[in-house]
Amino acid sequence: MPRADEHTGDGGPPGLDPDSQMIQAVLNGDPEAYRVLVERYERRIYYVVYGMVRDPEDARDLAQDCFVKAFQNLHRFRLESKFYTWLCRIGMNLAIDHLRKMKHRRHSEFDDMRGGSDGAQVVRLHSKRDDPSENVSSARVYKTIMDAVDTLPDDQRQVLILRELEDMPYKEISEILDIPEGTVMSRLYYARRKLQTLLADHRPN
Amino acid sequence: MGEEVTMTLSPDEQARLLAEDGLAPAEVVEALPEAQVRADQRLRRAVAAELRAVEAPTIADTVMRRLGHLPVHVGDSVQGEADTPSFAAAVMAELGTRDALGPQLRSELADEVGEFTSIWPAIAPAVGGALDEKGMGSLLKDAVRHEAAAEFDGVSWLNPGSRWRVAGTAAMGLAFAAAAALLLYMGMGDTATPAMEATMAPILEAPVDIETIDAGDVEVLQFGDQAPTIIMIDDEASRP
Repeated sequence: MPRADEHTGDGGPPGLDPDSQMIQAVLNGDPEAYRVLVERYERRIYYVVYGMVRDPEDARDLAQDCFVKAFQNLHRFRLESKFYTWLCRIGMNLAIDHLRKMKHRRHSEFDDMRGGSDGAQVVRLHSKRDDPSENVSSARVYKTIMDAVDTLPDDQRQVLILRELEDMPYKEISEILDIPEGTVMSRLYYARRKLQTLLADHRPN
Repeated sequence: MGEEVTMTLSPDEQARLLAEDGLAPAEVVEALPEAQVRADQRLRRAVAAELRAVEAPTIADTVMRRLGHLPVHVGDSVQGEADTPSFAAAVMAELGTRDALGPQLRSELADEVGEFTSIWPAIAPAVGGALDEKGMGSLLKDAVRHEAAAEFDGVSWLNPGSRWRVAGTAAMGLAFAAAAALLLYMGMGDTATPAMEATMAPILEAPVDIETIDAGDVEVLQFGDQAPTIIMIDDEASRP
């Protein structure tokens, strides 16, 4: 059995990209070739899923689920498509399903945190109360920004994460989320404007 | 938002979006307020940086194991006497521990277990080691021991926050051998072939017999009547 790192993607059917060559190898009976794909994309998928669910353990489980589900459905993958785009769509769907399951709990926690106020006030109150000197630590900045990202609707957060994490073209995001490119742009625009409002006190210098 | 169903951005909004994404022509960017463009791009960079500010775990081994495929290159490494430490890393990552246990627990284990029979001699041949623990088997054990030492920091642990710690130094031979057997057992995939059955037989038949330990909470993993037993102990002294 060849080692995973021996799978270079060379020597596969001509015209296929390296990912598709690996997939073809898996479909031809070499499951170890799938390891190459997992190792190639595990970090990116983890970041995408983590951006959505914001829990390291859940993100790890979901990232694993994503690769397992992709493997189980590999025969449905169209080799002329981009594997990562397909993988990302699976990951996003898993994350959204997970968030729906967690919805009640998240709402309860969020309501506790909000205390009847809107999201913008939450972010500003939190940071000002804890850091009156405005000498904000990097951890605080991280929490502030991610708290603000968390207040975005799921559909805006999806677009934002794919764009900011991956610098992914609008068109590819539209394929992953199965929405028009114009919708990608408008969601992205409104997400950023909302973030700017929320983070008005914390613009990076 | 209803306006998100289709493109509803005004030309100015589109220009601002494209400018902050670095996609707008220079003349479009120049027509926008300079401070706004800079602020937009700064915020974008800050958000991107924070989204990546977590450490992504390695999940390939777990994924392949869930799919029923042993990380075969590990087995190959053992057989070929190369990259042995990576096998130790896999064992320890699977166990989710890194610290040696405290002396109290060690003595408790020794009291309870007594002179246990190591299952390593049963495993060593299956992974290419020797019965007298020389050669590959010995190398593998040394590698596991080395990486399990408290001062060793070269391993990335899958689950560093785990509550459960595996039995440490006193039971190292037992626990690590059992863990190695567990990895092989879980990762080999199809054990139905005669060759695989022959390989797995000494592992699956290896005796492990620890029933009770009075050193805190104990979790026992038993994968079938004939499979090795993994004993994980909640050791307060070694929690991270």
